[in-house]
Amino acid sequence: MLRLISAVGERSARSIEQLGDISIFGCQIVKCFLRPPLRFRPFVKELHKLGVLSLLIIGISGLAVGMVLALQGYIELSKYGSESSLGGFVGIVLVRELGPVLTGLLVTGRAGSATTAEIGTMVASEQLDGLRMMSVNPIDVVVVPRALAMILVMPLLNAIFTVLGLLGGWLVGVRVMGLDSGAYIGSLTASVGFQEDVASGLLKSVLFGVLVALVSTYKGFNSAPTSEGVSHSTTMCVVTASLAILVSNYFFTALWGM
Amino acid sequence: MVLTHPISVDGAPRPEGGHVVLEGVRMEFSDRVILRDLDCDFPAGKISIICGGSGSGKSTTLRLIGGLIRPQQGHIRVDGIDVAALRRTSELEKVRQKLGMLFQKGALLDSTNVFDNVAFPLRERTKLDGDEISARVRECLLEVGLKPADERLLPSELSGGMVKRVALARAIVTEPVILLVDEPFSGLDPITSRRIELLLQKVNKRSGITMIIVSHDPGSTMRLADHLLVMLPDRYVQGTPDELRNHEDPRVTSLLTHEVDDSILEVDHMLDTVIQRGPTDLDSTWA
Repeated sequence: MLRLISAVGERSARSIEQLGDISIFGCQIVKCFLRPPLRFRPFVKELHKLGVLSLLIIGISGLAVGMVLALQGYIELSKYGSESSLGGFVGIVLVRELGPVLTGLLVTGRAGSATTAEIGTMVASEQLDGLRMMSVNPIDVVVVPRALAMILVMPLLNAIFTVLGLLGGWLVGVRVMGLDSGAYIGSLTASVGFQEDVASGLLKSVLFGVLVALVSTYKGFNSAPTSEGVSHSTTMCVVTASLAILVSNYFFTALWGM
Repeated sequence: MVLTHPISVDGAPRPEGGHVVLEGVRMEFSDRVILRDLDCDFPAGKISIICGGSGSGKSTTLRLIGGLIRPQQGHIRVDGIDVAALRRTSELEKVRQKLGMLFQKGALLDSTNVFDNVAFPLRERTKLDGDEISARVRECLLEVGLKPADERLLPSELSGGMVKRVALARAIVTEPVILLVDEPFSGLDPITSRRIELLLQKVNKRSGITMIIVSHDPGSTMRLADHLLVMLPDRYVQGTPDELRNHEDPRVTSLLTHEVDDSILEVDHMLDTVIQRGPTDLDSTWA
């Protein structure tokens, strides 16, 4: 029993210590970002890697999720004779919740893990030590462009996911189920407000972008310099960032509604 | 920083400084002692070679000098400045401007080509314009024997020997006073290895740079070294190659000649046990 308490205590202490480490790491990223020069070329390169290369998975997922939502929604709404509210149902679910959360999770798996693995490999191949020996701060050169690109890319990908989801809902609702197109769009525009829905969804995705950027770069930067270490960090990045997205989503939603 | 000692100019004055002293350095990683009370002196302008068995702390010594890790005890003085005592990154960066390091696997930035890798420290640390940087990079690449056509290659497209040469060019491009070199001959065939050896010798002779090299290669060690530090499990021995060639401790000569007398193995194993358990177990181990 004593051993169990001791193990729990030790784990908790380690978690708190890691939280402190991540906070300090975050402050260092902000400090480096505010200090010129802004590394524009690596930033654009990262935008391409994290954003453009994620477009396909985001697009297909958005479309598929919207189609499934419309299918399930239509069946349930038709029981109450409210099929015409399908647009509003799909819109609210996508814009408020599924868009930001699923985009966050997909980007974590697709781009966050890649970022951790890339930085971890740089640790293992002594590239970061090489930068230090050249009097160059690796956070400035390696972390800041990746973190900034991740934060910028997340709301953009969220917007694409949501728009394609709405399109998927329209395709199933109107083309497959035979709902009137005007009714779908009318319900959508009437139900989805800018401040309470669109702005909250976009802000959420910015928050998720910050979380994924912080976790993925931190895990890579502190990876053990072995292949096993890089693999462990990559796994931990996906687990930690996914949990952070899901938990923070609840608190954000609760606070936004107050 | 503006370059003051162009490496290409024959007979350029030897950069000032380059003296490294380690005093009572103790280093351990998760309860495993790597270095215990290491005292040594690397003379300025000379080629010093560190050799020793695997896990004896050779690369750790280089990383300590570079300030990449901090010892639990002791002083590491680079031209009088105690690197181990520096707490601020800015102070450490000032010392590192005197240092260049060639890592075992090159540590080249794998997303940028050869030219950009070598130009990187100049872009970051000097106010040279684009043309000056290009000229300087090409000069260094030529110095290490790389052709202009190699400039656009990515590190993944280079052979092991080329990686070391590019890494060397990057390490010397800012004219460091001290060059730390980790296992420059490992994984190379004898011809490429000899090429790297001659290259290091040429750089040292031309610019008077202090070189501290970790090496397992006895041939290169004896040819290159002005000064040797041999790291054994229980002691550190230093001196010139001539002094150490016929040293009383057979382990020293074994490391320098690669001719191992089997009786050493038993003694070495016992010493390992003593070191792991601590001196109190000395009698029982020898009994």
